[in-house]
Amino acid sequence: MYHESKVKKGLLGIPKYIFMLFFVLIAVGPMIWAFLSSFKTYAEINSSAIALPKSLNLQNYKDAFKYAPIAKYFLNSVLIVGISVLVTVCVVAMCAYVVSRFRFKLKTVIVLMISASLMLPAQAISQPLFAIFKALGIFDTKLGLILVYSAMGIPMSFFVMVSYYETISTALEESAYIDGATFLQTFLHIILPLAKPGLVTIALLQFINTWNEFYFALMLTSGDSARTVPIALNYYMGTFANNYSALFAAVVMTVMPTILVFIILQRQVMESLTAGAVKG
Amino acid sequence: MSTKNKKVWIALFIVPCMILFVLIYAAPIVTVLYTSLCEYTVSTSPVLKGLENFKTIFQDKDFLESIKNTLVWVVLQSTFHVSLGFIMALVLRRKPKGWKFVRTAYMIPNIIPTAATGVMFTLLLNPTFGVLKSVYGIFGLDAAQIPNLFGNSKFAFWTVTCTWILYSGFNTIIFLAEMGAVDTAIYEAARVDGAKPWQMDRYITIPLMKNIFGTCVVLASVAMVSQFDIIYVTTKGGPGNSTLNLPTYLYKVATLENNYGKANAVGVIQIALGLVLVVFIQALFREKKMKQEGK
Repeated sequence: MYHESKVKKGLLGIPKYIFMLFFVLIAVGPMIWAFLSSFKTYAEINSSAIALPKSLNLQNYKDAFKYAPIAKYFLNSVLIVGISVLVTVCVVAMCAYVVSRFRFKLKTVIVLMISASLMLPAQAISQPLFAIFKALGIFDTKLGLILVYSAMGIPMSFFVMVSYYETISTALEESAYIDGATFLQTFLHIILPLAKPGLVTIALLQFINTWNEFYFALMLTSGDSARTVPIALNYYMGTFANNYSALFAAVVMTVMPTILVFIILQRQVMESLTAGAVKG
Repeated sequence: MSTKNKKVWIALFIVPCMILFVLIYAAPIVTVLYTSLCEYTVSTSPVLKGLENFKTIFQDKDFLESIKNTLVWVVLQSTFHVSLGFIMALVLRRKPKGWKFVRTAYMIPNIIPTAATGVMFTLLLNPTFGVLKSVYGIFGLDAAQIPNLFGNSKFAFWTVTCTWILYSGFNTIIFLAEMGAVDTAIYEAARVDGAKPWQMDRYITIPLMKNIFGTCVVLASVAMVSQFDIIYVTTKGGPGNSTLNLPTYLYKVATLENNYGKANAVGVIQIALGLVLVVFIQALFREKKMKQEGK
């Protein structure tokens, strides 16, 4: 009996590991290949796709910096993403708080409007945004993208935050009001510190979504002044058409920041994404 | 705190969020709905024309192809892709050796910029220096026979599909979180009753995952209705219209034809398709649940 069950387990175990190995390879294989290729010379890349690089050649990285303003694109991304994360967290922290705690006119309208836009495809509203931004003079500016990205984060963050606030007991606020605290004092000193995990969740969600955002950046920028990293990649495809060894370096530099953030903050990122999916 | 005072604070807390929301969502949606009924191009202001734009797009072969491709991708993604994530979660749920590593590695394609995924696959499958050349070399095949997977209309659709359908790590972590929330006493009781592992999955785990399955299917479908980045980077909807979907068609109409009225009519169809899918899928999963409870 004992022997039989062990054999069965072993037989079931092998396909399981083959399955896992296959999908790990599919998932990280292309990335590792691009990473290794980024150290190869142009001639090495052309001669064999699977040979390892002969030396740690950094020429491709130097070329990538020489032919395209990569540092500028990174700075644009950091500024646009950083500010939009801050803006989304602030406005959502406030709005979701009053929606979760108080009854007022228009509350149902607000909740309905925000939930209707949860699943809205970005492309559908891009032409009007383009027209509005041209009219306001913020087309092809960092401010324009910051506004879009901040708003883009609202629907999902809003529902994550409302359900987070609902887990915080109202007893603390009530006693604060009895002690004579004002509305703002209560919010800043009692609620916000308790809501920190929720705020971290929406900040991470917003970071990942905006750092990777492609479509609005494509539609709403036309020059280097506001181009972000993902959109720059598309532009390299044209620029580096004949120098694809530098393209490998550019891809590696694009995916590195998100992968690093993900690996360092793994648990929180997974929790954020799950919360965003389930509560949103 | 006086009621009047409270009202002022409530208003102050809502206004910033609503200003952003109205500027970026509400105003454009109203504009899309209105201008879809107008003659409106890059050089002319909107003039109301009724359903002209809708008539035009429904007679356009490219539009019909883009609807077909979008729907095929929605179906594939909400069945195969979601199930793959679910199977991975079932495997990882028992915490085999290295499961945390597998979970992280499998998740990585879901968190990197999709444009980067597109560029990577373009490089990987390039006929002159991609991996296929080495594979052909190993098997002694003629290098001139290497197919251009993104550039040949026979292969392009399935090649593009492969760049996203296998990457279901996001669904895996959602399912894993939900499986982790199941009361272990249920499994304990089943084990005492002599249930085998596959029976536990079949009769306990799978039924309990109904709701979250619905959520994953909704998310996967909606993502396919707005799938753009990878297609734009790899094929731009081509060759011909073999990988054209609603977003890429809309983008072409707006930026190449500069026909904004027509583009916004496509936008209305895109929004409507998204809504119909969400309502349909939710109804599908709700009905199943009710039937089960009725038994």
